[in-house]
Amino acid sequence: MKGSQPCIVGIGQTRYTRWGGITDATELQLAGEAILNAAADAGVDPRKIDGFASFGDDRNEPALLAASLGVDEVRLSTMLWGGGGGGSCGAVGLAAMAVETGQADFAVAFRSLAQGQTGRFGQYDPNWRHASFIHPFGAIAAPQLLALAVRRHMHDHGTTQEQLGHFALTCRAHAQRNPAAVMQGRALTMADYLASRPISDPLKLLDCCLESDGACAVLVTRWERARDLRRPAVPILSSAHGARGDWSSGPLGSHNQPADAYATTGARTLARDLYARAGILPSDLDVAQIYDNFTGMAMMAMEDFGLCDPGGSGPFVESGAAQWPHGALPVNTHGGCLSEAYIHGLNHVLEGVRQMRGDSTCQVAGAGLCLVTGGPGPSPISALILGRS
Amino acid sequence: MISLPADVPTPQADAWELEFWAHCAARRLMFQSCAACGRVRHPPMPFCPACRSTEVRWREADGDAQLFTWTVVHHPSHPSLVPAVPYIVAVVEFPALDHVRLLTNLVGVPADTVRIGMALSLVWEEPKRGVVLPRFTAAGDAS
Repeated sequence: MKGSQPCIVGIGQTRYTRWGGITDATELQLAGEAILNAAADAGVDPRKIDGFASFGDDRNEPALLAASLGVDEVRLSTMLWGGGGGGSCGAVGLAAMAVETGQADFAVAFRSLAQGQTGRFGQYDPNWRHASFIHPFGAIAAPQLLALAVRRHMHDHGTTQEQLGHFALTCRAHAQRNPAAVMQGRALTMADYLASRPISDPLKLLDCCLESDGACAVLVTRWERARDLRRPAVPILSSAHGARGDWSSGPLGSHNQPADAYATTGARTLARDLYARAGILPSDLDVAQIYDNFTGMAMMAMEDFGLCDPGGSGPFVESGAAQWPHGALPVNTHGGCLSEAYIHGLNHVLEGVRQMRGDSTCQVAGAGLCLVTGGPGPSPISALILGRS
Repeated sequence: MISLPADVPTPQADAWELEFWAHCAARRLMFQSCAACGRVRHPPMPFCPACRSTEVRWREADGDAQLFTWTVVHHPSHPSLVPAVPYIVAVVEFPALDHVRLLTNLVGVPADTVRIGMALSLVWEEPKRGVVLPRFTAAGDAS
């Protein structure tokens, strides 16, 4: 590996709860806890952290984090555009770019949520992109807007309600082995899924991700520094963020995304470039962590990233192909945003690292390549290919 | 017939969007098109994405509206919508206008009769004085 190769060397998290569940620590404190846990995991002195990256309207300023954590110098202070979790992997990618080019030595990507104290994400927001064209019609929140895309996917490809349910059940089953998962101990059956209340059809309550409190952090440095640290370095073989130029506000706005990509996540070209830069094919993947704001959106992302054929995600999840341990390509082995926690997808990056280190609670034997994706719906979305050192 | 309550958030248009809503106030559904190359676009934007012209000609959506996709909203995401659920949010496509799409509501259409591709007719609703919104019903049912 080249000395400049960016690698994930530490991961950190706090406890995960239902939204509003953390009242004894501020968001900034949770972010700091996760960052310190990542530094301890890597065996890196927190003073040496010199880069901070987040995404999608994070509320926790690097200047305040850096001062409180007592770091020596801030060399990267950045955040990816776009709402929600589209930039989860992209924030890690920004950290990777900074360390690869020598602008920072130890860059951390983070997300922290204490929504009982600061407000729930995804509620009515008068400044929402293209709000004038959606709010007056009672399209206020993500499930209403994205249900429209999921319905069209069903129409175009014959995707069924039960197939959406299979995705939810797959995540929930994986969460049963994960002690950090909010939904551990709450097993789910198809009957439970089908009986869950409609939110905005075809999306039911159990098609929607959790709303959570908690924080995650991912520490990135170059291979030349990574190889001597405490844990095996996980190389970032490629990263990407973006979308087609004509995506605009997409299904989270006026729904004028391009006709030939309407019921997709707009990620096909991004995925092509991501795999090309890593020098692999989707068929080389051993495991994937797919951002699951909603079942149907995650399934479209699986198609765009080549885990299955376009339109084929329904039969794919129904067949058990995404289930650990016997499926051909286990997906969301931590339980995902649907059943572990909704730390806006940065928790998916942590699970990708665990798979590459060999210590997931649903470990894929011998896994050497993991896809992680962020945020279907908005632009930019983002993704990573993780490998083993 | 007013399908959603008056206290649902109303358009807070910026300069580029203002003209769209001004046309609606006059009960004309008009989309931005490029005066140079004719390309129709929505929502309003400063440059034509096809030729970069800033010259605009507004074109009226007269007839030929089709249902592209839809959802029945059961969970109100704003206090004003509590008495309104369930209601239908729809995306309507205008094939004669470069297939531009408008997010709107279907009104007076039972959910079990809704079909993607069905022909729709425009109906104007004024939930608040001066706030005129384009909504749609099954073609032939407009009144």
